[in-house]
Amino acid sequence: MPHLQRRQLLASAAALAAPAFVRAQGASARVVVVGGGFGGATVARYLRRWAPQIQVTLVEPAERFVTCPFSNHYLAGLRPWDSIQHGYDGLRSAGVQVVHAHAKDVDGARRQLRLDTGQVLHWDRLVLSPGVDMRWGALEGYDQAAAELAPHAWKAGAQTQLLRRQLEAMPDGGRFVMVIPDNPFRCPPGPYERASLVAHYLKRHKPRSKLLLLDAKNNFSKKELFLQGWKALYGDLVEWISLAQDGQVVRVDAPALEVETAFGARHKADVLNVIPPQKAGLIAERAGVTDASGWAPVRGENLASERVPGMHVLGDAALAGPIPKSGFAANNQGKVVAAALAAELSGRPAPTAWYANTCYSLLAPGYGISVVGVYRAQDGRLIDLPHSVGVSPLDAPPAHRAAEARQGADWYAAISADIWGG
Amino acid sequence: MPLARSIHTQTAITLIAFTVCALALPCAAQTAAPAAAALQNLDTALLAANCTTCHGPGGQPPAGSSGSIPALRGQGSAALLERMQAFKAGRVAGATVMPLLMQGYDAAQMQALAQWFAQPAKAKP
Repeated sequence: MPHLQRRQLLASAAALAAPAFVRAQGASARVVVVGGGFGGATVARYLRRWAPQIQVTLVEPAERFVTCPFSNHYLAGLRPWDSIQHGYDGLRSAGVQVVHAHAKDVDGARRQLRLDTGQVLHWDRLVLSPGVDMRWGALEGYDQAAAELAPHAWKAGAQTQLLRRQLEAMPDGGRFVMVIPDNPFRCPPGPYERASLVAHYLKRHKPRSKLLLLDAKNNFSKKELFLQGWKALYGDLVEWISLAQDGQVVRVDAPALEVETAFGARHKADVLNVIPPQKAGLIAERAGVTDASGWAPVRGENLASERVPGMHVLGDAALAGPIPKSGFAANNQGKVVAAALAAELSGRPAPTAWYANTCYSLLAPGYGISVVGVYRAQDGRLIDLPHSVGVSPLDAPPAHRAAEARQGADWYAAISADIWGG
Repeated sequence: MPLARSIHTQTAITLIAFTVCALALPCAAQTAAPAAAALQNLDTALLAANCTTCHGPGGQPPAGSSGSIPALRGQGSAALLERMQAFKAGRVAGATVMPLLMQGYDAAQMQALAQWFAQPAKAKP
């Protein structure tokens, strides 16, 4: 009975695992969570809820977190900047100790996390939810300086505001060029929702303009739905160039706002939005939890690092099999990590991990689509539940699209309240 | 390995309790041994936490919600279960994401979720 043996092994490993387990009996195990976004803030809140005796410290540089979800709405002028920001008072009220600092380095042997303030945090379990970092230089000519001219806006914040200013300053009849990477990257449908809402803005304010999408892939999330929606909503304003059509960009000349494709075609832009290849946030690399892919392999049952004991990795930074790198997924993963740690640190049996994902994309006000999936762990890996993975129907009536647009907005309110308290 | 054995025994007891609970309707088996109940509660709490990502903390939509995603908390367990079953069977006209999502949950899980959200809201659900 391999299942039985595995359980016994896990249980005995927990028993042997050093101070945390023992300290937990004395009611003060320490968990440090790095990253106050959809994954990390969820872990912190739910850990306090499910195991109030555990001391939880959340390390997040931003005093107000700006979400990537719904940042495309801001970009297109559909939402105010304030509405996609969340503070940490709700988490403090829940008993989480919030430290606004950058996590600089991890000493796994001593179980210490060093912050840029010089402060050192001691932990019994470390949870890493650092999101993504850009692979600067992976795309020739695209580095941090280039991003000030040709923003990625793939981490919400100053980059998002820069891209909006550029869009607003673009002349009517101008050309907005978006460079889209190969998988895996944060938020698979995100570039295409952005394209939709930029097109919506252009159609309203600068109707002679053009939107060109240069893609390093032939397929993407909800592709048929996006293509159908673009045609219906925006006609030939949006042009998507696939890998097969020489859409893969290999060089960026940010000062000239020009890009070059694999077969040498050059495209000049008035606004250039380059979404470069990505990897797990740097602290994951420092902690030693990433592999050659740049992402962190984890066990499906509890998102424990495959590489370093005592650490869990979740959200966009993790290699989570078929689960997409989405805010929803990070939130559900956060709950799994919280439940697993609550059980482990109080000597209870491990709970059964179960993950859902729903990602809404808005193609225009009143026109929403979705992708859905449910996932579970099996022998350390993550698998999807049969027939649970799918997207909105093609050719759905307007009422269906309108319902998903409303649900998308209500989802954002719900998940924000679930994580930050509003 | 006494610890391992005791944990495993608890798991077995809880699984039995959970199965009984899932089959017997209405379920009054919440009075199982404390450790077993704790596991069951954490398992169900985790499962229910899949739902709150859209339906709001504790299964109640937050202020400012348009109401397009309904409250789960406080609905009767029979009504919740019937609704989940109808979604799963494709019997709800105009449904959006729920028919797909419900494919990911079996009868026992749906039963547990229905009972979970039928409970009155706590101060910190």
